[in-house]
Amino acid sequence: MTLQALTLTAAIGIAGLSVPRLGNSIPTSGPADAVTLQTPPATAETLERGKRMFTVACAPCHGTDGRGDGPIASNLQMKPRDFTRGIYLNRSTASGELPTDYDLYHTITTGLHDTPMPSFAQMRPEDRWDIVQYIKTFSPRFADSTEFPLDVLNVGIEVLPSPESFARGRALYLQMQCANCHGVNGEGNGPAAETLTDDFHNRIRPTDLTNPSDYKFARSAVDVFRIFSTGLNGTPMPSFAQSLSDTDRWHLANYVWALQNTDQYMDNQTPASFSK
Amino acid sequence: MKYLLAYSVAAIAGLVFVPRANAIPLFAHKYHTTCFTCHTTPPLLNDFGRRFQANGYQLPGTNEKVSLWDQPSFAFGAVAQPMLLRQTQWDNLQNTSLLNSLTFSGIEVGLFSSASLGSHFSYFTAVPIAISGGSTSIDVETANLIYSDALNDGTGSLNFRLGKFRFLVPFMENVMLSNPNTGPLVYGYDPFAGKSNLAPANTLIFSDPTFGVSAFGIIPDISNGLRWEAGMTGGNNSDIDLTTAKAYFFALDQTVYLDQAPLRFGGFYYGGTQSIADTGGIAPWTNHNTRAGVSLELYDPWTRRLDFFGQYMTGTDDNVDTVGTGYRMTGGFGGVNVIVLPEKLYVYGRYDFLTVKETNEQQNQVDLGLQYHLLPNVFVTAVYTITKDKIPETADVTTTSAGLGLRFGF
Repeated sequence: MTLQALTLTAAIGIAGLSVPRLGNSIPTSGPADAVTLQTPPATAETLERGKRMFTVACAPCHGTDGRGDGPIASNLQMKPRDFTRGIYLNRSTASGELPTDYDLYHTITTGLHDTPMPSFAQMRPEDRWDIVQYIKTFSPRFADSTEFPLDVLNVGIEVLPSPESFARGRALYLQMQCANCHGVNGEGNGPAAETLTDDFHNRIRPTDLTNPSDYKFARSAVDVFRIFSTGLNGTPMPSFAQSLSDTDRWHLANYVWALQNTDQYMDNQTPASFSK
Repeated sequence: MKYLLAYSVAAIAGLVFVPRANAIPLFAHKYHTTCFTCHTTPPLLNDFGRRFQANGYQLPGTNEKVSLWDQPSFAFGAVAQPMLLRQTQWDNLQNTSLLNSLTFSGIEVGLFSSASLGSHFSYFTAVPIAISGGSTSIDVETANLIYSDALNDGTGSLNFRLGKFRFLVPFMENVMLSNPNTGPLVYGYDPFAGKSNLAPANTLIFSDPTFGVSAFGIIPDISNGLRWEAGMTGGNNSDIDLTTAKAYFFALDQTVYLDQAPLRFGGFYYGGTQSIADTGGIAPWTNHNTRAGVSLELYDPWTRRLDFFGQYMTGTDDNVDTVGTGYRMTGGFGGVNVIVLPEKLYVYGRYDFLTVKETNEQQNQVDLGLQYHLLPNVFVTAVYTITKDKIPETADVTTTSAGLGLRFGF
């Protein structure tokens, strides 16, 4: 067994362990089959199948070598992920860490809303897992034992949305300078909005938090909490895991999620009104 | 003036009433993605879109298994393309003007529907509704049932379809930008044109949707994908059955990535026999027809923003009337699509030619245009076309067409 295979096996084991650890914290938007399926071992056959399905479904954007430079990439404003860098936005792991296998599977399954990355929920689960294994071969980080074990997020005790939580969230929103990028009212029009780039030197823009169409990953306040806890690697969006307590991150998540769901949570009060 | 007013009202209404959310058509709505997943700019298909189309209008790598009553996949979309059009026509022999008009092209709305009907089965329909000059016309342009992923491996290598559809001809209107009021010359070749005393069931405009059955797909294992199709039809644009107008179609189109820049080359053949019977009192007769062509497309490997393409096609019809009059056509085009600003601005230029040997008719056309992505579901289009139609010592007409329009998707 090669060092790479050993490392992959270790990674798979860790990722496999991470699924039960997520337990109740798995977002409701997550695919049910992902919870029950074990990550398949990265055999040569797995990688060959993964390569074939990657070629069919992923290569047009991500390129046959996974560098994010597929034939379509030159026409996309949001550039496809360069898998050779091992930097991923959508994770359940600490800032700067690799994603778990489940994170990769989850992204393939749900897609990134309103971007050129569609949901492949209708792809067979075994094909998605094979692609996960193949994607990991593009970056040496996945074969580096020092990258593991991964620090997988524990959502902890959820703070339910309430006017008090929104008010605290609003205060934190201003305190943590979210408005710099996302704007005072969360409309993605902060003073720094026009200057943002990612680690790949691509121009990016902050999410308009008031527009449901603009959320790429989040489908619930739990997902927003996760992003505050992990950050979005490769972008200016930081992790608040070290700077805010779990409870405060929940308040902030409740407030942000309510910005585009005011009817659901508010009685004649918009989240922005808590700025007073 | 009234047209200008109407156009202004339509444009303003379009800008005002466009919803903020991305209410973009059909598949983008169904898959919660943007039009640029499949289109370089609508209707120009990119590599992902070609695979989507070749997988029976399902995402590549997937075989949708969604029950009829549990899916939002009865996607429904529409496209409207109003245009203000300035046209002039000049008779070079008589040195006189034949046409000088400024018209509002009316509204043509294309309605589309597609859905998965369970594992492997899906359908696709396109119904254009044209409103012009106080009249409305509706046509079921495309309606077909698709059996996809026959190999059950998720690659889309082998699929089948039955119904009325358009063959996977390279550089059809869904993969090339063009003036919607003119279009590529070579695809508009109609040997029956001008024979008003005849009313054949088939107009023989190659690449129009046709009734038929075909097998098609993209084989991913041959370099970077071999697109293929083999089918049998009842004749182009036909409403007569397979026993009286049988034709066959074969096409291969190979993609090779040169440093991730697509190079495509291929060829196609269409040939068959038409028993033309629906002619209003004229005795039935038979016409043998063929269309064959080769095509080449190349994205520049440096920026991948320049898409050069070309096609050459020949066509024969050995009896377009009752007395054995035959025609031989050669034609083609070459041009370039340019991505100026990704997801925003595109320009294109194309040169077309068409020669009919028996009549010495020669047509040449230059097509220039741009498309700007103004809002999530609104594109602004500008087109300019100049066409020269010449039959030596008989006719020499120059037509120009300049238009400014909108393309709504909702």
